Amino acid sequence: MADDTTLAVSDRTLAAWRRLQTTPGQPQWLDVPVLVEPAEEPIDRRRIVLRATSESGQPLGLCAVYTNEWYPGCTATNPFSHYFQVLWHVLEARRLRRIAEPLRLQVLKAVWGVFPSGRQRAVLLKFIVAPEYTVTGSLVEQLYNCPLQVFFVRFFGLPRDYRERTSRPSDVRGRAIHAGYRRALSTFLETGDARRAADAYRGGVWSEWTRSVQVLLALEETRDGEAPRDVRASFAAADTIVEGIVSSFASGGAEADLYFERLFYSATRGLSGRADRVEVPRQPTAPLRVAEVKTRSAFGERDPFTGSTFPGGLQALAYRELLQSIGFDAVDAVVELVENDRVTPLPLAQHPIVQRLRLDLSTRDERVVDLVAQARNVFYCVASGLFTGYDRYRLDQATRNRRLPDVVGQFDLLSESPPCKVCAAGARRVCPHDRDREGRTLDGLFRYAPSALFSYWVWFHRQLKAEEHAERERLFHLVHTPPAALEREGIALCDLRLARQDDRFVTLERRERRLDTRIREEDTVLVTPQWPDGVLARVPRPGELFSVEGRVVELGEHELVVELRDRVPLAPEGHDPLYRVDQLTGFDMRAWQLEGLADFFVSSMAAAPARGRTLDWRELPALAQTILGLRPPARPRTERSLAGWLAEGLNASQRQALAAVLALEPGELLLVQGPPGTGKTALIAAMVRALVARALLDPGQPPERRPVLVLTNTHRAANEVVLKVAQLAPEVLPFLVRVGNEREDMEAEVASRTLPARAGLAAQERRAVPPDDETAMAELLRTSRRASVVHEHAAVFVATLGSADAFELRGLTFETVIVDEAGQATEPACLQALRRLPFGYRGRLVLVGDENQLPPVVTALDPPPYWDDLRRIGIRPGDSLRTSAFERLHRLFPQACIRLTEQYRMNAPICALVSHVFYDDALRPADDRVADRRLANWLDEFGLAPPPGLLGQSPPVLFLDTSDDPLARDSGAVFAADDEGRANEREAELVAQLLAEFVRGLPGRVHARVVERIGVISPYRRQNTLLRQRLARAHPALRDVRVDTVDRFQGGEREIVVVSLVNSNEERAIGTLHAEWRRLNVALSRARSLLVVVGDRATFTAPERVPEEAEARERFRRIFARIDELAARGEARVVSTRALAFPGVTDGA
Amino acid sequence: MGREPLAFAPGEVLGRLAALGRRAVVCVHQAELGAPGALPAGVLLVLGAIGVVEPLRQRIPACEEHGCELLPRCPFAADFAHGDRSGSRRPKGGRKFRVPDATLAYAESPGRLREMLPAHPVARWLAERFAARSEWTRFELAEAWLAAALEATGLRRSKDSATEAPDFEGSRRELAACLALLVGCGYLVWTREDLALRLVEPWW
Amino acid sequence: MAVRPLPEEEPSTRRPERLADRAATERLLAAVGERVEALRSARFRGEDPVVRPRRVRRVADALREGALAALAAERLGALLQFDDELLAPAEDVVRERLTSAYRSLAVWDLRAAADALDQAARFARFPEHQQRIALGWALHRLVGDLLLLVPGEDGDKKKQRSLPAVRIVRDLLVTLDQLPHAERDFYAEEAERLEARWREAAEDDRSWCVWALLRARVALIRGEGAETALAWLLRLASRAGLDVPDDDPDGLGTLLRRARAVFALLAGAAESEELRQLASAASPRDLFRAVVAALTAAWGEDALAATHRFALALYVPETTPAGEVADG
Repeated sequence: MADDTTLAVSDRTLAAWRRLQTTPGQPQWLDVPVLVEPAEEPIDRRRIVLRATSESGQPLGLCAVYTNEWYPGCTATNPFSHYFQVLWHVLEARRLRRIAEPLRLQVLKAVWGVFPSGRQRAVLLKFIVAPEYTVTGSLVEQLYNCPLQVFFVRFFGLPRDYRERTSRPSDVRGRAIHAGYRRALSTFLETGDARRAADAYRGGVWSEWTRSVQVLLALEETRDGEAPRDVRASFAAADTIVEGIVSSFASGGAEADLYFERLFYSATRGLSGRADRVEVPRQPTAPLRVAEVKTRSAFGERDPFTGSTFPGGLQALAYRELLQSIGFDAVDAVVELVENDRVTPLPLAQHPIVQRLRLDLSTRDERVVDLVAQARNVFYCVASGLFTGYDRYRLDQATRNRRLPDVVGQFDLLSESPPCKVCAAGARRVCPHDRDREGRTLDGLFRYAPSALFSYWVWFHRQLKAEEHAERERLFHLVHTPPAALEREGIALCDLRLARQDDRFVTLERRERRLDTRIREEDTVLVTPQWPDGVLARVPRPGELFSVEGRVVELGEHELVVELRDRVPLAPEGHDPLYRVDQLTGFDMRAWQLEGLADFFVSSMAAAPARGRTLDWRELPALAQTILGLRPPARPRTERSLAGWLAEGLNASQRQALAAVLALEPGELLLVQGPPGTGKTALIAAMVRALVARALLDPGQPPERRPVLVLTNTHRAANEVVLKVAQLAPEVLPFLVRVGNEREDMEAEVASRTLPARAGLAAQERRAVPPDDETAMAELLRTSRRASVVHEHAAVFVATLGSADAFELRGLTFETVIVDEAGQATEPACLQALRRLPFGYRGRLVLVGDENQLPPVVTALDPPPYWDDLRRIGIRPGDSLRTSAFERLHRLFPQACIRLTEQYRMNAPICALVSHVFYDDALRPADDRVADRRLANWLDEFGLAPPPGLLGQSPPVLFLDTSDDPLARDSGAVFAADDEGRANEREAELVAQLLAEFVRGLPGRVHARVVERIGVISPYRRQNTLLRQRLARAHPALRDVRVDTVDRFQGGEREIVVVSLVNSNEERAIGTLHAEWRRLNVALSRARSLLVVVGDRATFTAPERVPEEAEARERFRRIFARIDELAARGEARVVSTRALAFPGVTDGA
Repeated sequence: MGREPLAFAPGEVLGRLAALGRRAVVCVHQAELGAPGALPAGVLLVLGAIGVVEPLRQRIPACEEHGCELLPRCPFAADFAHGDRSGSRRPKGGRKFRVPDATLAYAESPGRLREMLPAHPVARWLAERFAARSEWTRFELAEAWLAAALEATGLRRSKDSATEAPDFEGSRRELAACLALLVGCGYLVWTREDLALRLVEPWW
Repeated sequence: MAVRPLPEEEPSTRRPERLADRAATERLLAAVGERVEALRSARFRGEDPVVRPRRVRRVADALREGALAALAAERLGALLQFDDELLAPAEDVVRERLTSAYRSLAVWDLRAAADALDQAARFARFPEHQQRIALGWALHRLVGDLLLLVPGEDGDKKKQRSLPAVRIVRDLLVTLDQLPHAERDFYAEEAERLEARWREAAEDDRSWCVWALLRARVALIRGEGAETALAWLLRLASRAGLDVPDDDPDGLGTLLRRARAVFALLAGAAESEELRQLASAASPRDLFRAVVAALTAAWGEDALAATHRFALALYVPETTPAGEVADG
């Protein structure tokens, strides 16, 4: 594949098609992409006729696909071929879903068929369906273990139920030896010194045992106080492994480059892989070696002659096929099994699977292609939901036969004993084929579900799958779109020069052009070199082995700092070191939300007393009925009087909320709406203290039932809760555990609350590897004992929704689960909270959030078609995944919500503005000190009077109206995506001058402290970069004013907040960011004493062009009307910017 | 502060045990599942340690043998079933107790329980605490208990170590039960709106 | 009183054969197919629609519309709505398939029972029918275990003492709240009885032989292949000690010798004309009859009747079905 812009690819397809016609009747190997559409409407079950076109649209005429890979003149059909079945199901599903755009097939093998009637037509034999949908290579084996497991785990998303089961040290032993082996190998290849390799091995084992906290809990030392067998075995394996490395790598180590855990992706096979080690030889003739390390031989392939089993064969074959399809011709693979403290390598040629099938690895063996293609195609068809759709009868029918015969062709590779013991469906007793079933099975899961529960599951599952679909197509998009177009789309940056690289952090810079992109800090990116590589002899594409994954640490105007997982390849002399950086979203970031949804579905059904028939929704647990919106929750009981020490420091509505939480009965739900600045986190801290105090000395509390779990949407919010508890309720701290390992963005106070730190293993101790095995094991034992005691006594756990299944929480259930920022969590994410409630949801759920603030972050995809059964659940036609559970439940049951009305942030006028527009006048300042706070009060903390000038003398609300200012037109949409990248020069200039004039009126000594309390917000990143430039140029002190989008200001507050609305154009377009009016609420409610709004009233109050904008425009009209009212009362000031000019400013900016 | 009583008078405890009848078998899970009149798990563990009730370690009767009415909905019944207990992993020992005749004998004179209580290791530990200070809040007591447990892990737990193997579960619910019984017997009293406990009469 | 003349009967010979009118049937089926297609695509999106006859003006169309709706509903096992009643059109089919499934279980015909339960499951809408199907699958598993697990020969001791499926039946019966208590108790005892019989077969030689005879009988009548039947009969004969001198031409001895010849060939013994001739004459049915006769003589009780102890008894409600009141 020399070059693959769409034109070159379609030329190759046309050439292949012509070549096909030259040899009628002989199948040929093509390997070209083709776009197809079904030609005849009712697709026949024996033949599919397709209308094919090349990638760039040139028609290729009709082609056909027959069952069993038949073609006219075919001598031997393949009765177990899966190609036709998968294609039939995919086309049928696309017809039922009315998907219009053509389906892409990577045609591997085809033949020019000459029919007896004389007609001639291409017949496709082997192909990859929809190669743009990337499947991870490690899942190839899962299909051949049990296809039904792929349906239950990959499509349905069923997790294991960790209410009772904890994890065992044997899980970690293999991983520990593996980590040690990898470090020892890389050290040996660099230094060639066996002793340092042994030390590196111990370092690897030590880091793996200490990394996963769950090990610390499961380590029961043996009776005589020694370290458990697993730990000792992993340390003792050092010498055997190092000596194994020395023997196998002593000679030829030097002339190969080692790549560890590198992502490699084949766009033609739709497969991505991450082998443990890839050795690229320096001289081009030697073959490339892929090493796959396996730690357990549970699902090995059995060699019929020797009877020995060895795992990893299928995966090694898949990776080999994948690398060959990228362009590496000579690839040989080795599988290394880590078993009872030895690493036994086995080249693929001698692997049982190759022996059994007599595969010839030198040439292309079609059986290998079939094997890999079947796994990939079936995975796509099943996991994407096209196989069953959401037809509850087809779903039920699919679970009838473990082999999924409708879609899987070749059975003989299936392992005879399916992995029921480790399969989640077996553990949850949902799979009818689990041989040793005991206890109450749950047959007919989909068929007998109440229609409300089933519709609820379908509505969210389909949107999560659509999002996963979009993410799985990202790599294909990256590879097939020219870099310039990607840069315009804002998801890539090219021609970056390597400035410097120290250890893992690399700095790339591009002086000539500004870095205008939608990539943000914390995003995962791929760094790919832009010079032809030795082996492939062409410029590598992103994801082809040579690109390195990393995390963006810092994004400046001209340079970018990325923390890489592995060192970046340095440019050989003669090529200037240019790199490209592409944004990469993880595929399985959504997996935990699918798990939350599936767990809710199965746990609700399992809690019903009756089985074997259609359940009525009244038989589901009470809390499940409330979540489904069918059973109104009890009205909050707030009449109980609270003990003095419980309610100190809380205002009236907070006290009411606390009383309601304490009066909750198991199985009940409470909603608490916390508008901006109303002390939401302080309330949560008070709740935690009250609940812990009540349960601390309760004789009836079983050890596995704990009082409180606080789940938040982001790590930042979780740290916030821990800090607030430390500040308001320090006596609870000894019983508080912050779930997860220490992260560098954690404050020290919070980091000390994580379990490893509490057990005496803080981050720096973990990095200091003990000198020898004995001390290491003793240290592990000591921390394990301390950790289990701390864990046993812990009463409060604080975690993010994503880690609700973390190791520390396994085996525990909670009386009360509090979800913070519930308004920002998607509904499936919110369901994670239910996974930690006791069986039958006999626990209390408290959702704290505000649906008027930022909605959940979702790649904006259109919601699935609406049907009326959803109305019962409270889902409205306009809703989608962005509608949080809090918003839906608050809409359904307003009486079950307690609203916090006293806020401590905004002064009276700003509060009046926000409260009138968003909270129908319910919000008010908590006390006079807050209400009367003005710029003057803040400034006299520094002993200064408000300076002269527009800002200094302005009332609390200042509106600079640019509607009749011709200069103030925005730059129009630059990016095609959601964040259109608009910018407004005039507004940026006005803001800069306004703040510069204010700062100039203040003495130099206070500049730093004043500027730190000023915030500038605008929805577009391009405008923010522009604002930073103008501010820096207007006044040196303004360089460190915080300028950011609304999303990154969530939760923060400033004395002075300037909001630049940017949009100002003739078409009156306000863009999708403003259409989300909640952003405006967050922007306006950040200010404490002074709010400045700069924008074009005419653009925002014009009639809406699209129905979605209706509500946003209505809110804008009410805001400007309210500002006029405030101006009438003298609490606001409207200034038209047309005549506005700042004294003493040279206008040549 | 809480709905459930934080005190167990000896008379009430003995009354509930007597009400169960001769050689009755009680289980720690009965209170948790809301059986009327059942004693909380912690109280049973404490009574077991001081000999008021007899913890069963062998020949533990299955649930249906002692006619537990919670059987149909109790998730723990499988743990005590005879024959193959493949599903359960929790040990059977020490979760069921039998009421010996001796206890029924002095059911009417609660004073007997009042003298036996201080013999419990947790009661002794509390005695040291209250000897040092006369008023402790809930949090301080629980924190001291956690610190003691942490410090206990520090000692090399070899067979001949000085600290006698504590014959109590060591979990907080046993501390809570001991406190509730001490309050019931009048040694301690709740103050500051149920936040703290104050010493009324030393029991050591 | 005048008698109206009877219309003169057309002689049956001249009446045309009653053949389906091809075009009309195709039109009808096309209409039904179009409704089924609409239902299937709605189901694909996640709905579970109810079939309603469409509004039509003429009475003739209304009748046709009702028929179409009923046919479509039955094809998909969906609910049918006539004005405001929700009907399950194929519930009688379910009842009939259920009885045939249970009857097949009673005569150890696992494949027929599985098919019948599958068909019943496709249309069942009444709760008690659905739960009877679930019970049917559990009993199917029980009868399967009873036949396939050789008493007393399972590897690990724990599994050997009890049939795993009995536990599934017992746990399931607790949850079938729509079935009458009598029926649930009946099948609970039935499962206990079968397990007791099976465990007894593990301990006592004679009941093991009865079990083996049952195994051979099922192999014979369910067409599991001649070799299976012959194998079990041989093992049964050796276990029951039926070795008789093989002098008589068609007696038990020669039949056993022929069966042994079949397995000698299978096990790879030297192919000899005499062996091949013996093997071809082996007939499982004759051997079966001979063994039954020998056992009946040896034990003094009818061996074939003894195998009926492993048969699943079926629950028949005492009161008339109409009067049957489901509890709960």
